[in-house]
Amino acid sequence: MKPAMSLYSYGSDIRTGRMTVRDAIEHAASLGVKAVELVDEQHLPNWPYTSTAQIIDLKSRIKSLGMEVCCFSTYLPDLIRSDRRATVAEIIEAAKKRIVIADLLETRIVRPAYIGTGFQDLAAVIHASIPVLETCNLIWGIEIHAPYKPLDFLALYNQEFAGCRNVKLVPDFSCWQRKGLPGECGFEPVDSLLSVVPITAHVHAKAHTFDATGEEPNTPYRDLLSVLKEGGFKDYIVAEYEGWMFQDLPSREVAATHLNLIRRYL
Amino acid sequence: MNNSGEDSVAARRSEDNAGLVTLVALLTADAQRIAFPTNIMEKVTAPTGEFTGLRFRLRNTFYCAQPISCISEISASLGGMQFTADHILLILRGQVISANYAPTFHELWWGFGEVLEILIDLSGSAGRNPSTIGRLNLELFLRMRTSISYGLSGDAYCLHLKNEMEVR
Repeated sequence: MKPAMSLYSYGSDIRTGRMTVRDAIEHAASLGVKAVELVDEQHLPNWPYTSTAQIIDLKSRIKSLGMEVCCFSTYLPDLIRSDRRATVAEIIEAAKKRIVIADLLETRIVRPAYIGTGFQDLAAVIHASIPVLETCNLIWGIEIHAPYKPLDFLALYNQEFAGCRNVKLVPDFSCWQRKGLPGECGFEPVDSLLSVVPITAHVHAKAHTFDATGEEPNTPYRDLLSVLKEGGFKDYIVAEYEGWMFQDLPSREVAATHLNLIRRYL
Repeated sequence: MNNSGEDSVAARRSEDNAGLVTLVALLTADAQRIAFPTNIMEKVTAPTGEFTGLRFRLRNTFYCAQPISCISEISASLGGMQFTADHILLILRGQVISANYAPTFHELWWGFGEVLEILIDLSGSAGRNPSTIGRLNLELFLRMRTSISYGLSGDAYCLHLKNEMEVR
């Protein structure tokens, strides 16, 4: 299991202009991680009109610091028009565009956030994207995020994508939070993580707050990392701090605390 | 895929509604904290020197970029005087949009933390000119759609932002 940093964690300082995306990349490197995760709508300049040159420039900066992009998190918004919901065909085109961006970033995993009107829409979009995923040798990471249940996504995977090397799961610790950010508390039993570990490509270690000892009091990090180890998970687990939405703390300090928590139980 | 996944999605959204209401309250509080990068309200004048309005800066408070079409409703109160979207212009990277038409601008994106300008057009509004010196209480009402469904009613939430502005 390899610790990494999601630049999402620096949201407080990036959105208020106190840090640039490049500052966040450099800080992540200073913490000794070998990979960072990017979020399209937060970190790619001039989104959604980011140029190829801008993408390559960002990737080059990351690589120059001895890191890689471990995951490109992206959204597939279907409500951007006020007069109608995007069609599944439009979402498929958007998904393919994002897969190509992920390929430019030389990441292995793309996590498009999309549900549409239900799992049938999601499955249709992924199926249509598989040829591009195969061409780019990329994995579509279906995020398991509260308020949805891990076993729902496991059922979806088993029914639609079993054995497909280009589709895996990305569990987010929000599913196992006991309390914390309203609307993001899954209250799931820790054991439910074990059932999805064999098809997990990447993990989002979500956090909203830390106590004086550096623990996330709402999330059983020790137990969750123990389950990941028991399940044989060996890929990246990224620190994804989200408390910045509600509390303005220095991002660098919080990121360091979060990473220390993950390393404590690796 | 059978319907069990669909049912589960719907059920989870319903079960979580109370949590979403609280989440919106937190998002609103967060917006109040960061929405105004400054408390400066600038007087705008035409080349002729005629006073035409007041403008101020507003940050995108959502947790990511969003299209301008997500601004589905906007109105303002300045010193107790009410201004509808008819009198409000949005200026993003030099592009001027009547607030009435903002819901149609789905290809113009308001970046993560990006600051736009709001101009209250006071031209031709004789007798509706709030004090243009000193301080003004600003109240801004926004109905924001989300570009992905989070299960909110109407896929939208409302912001009621307040700030005391220094007019220059």
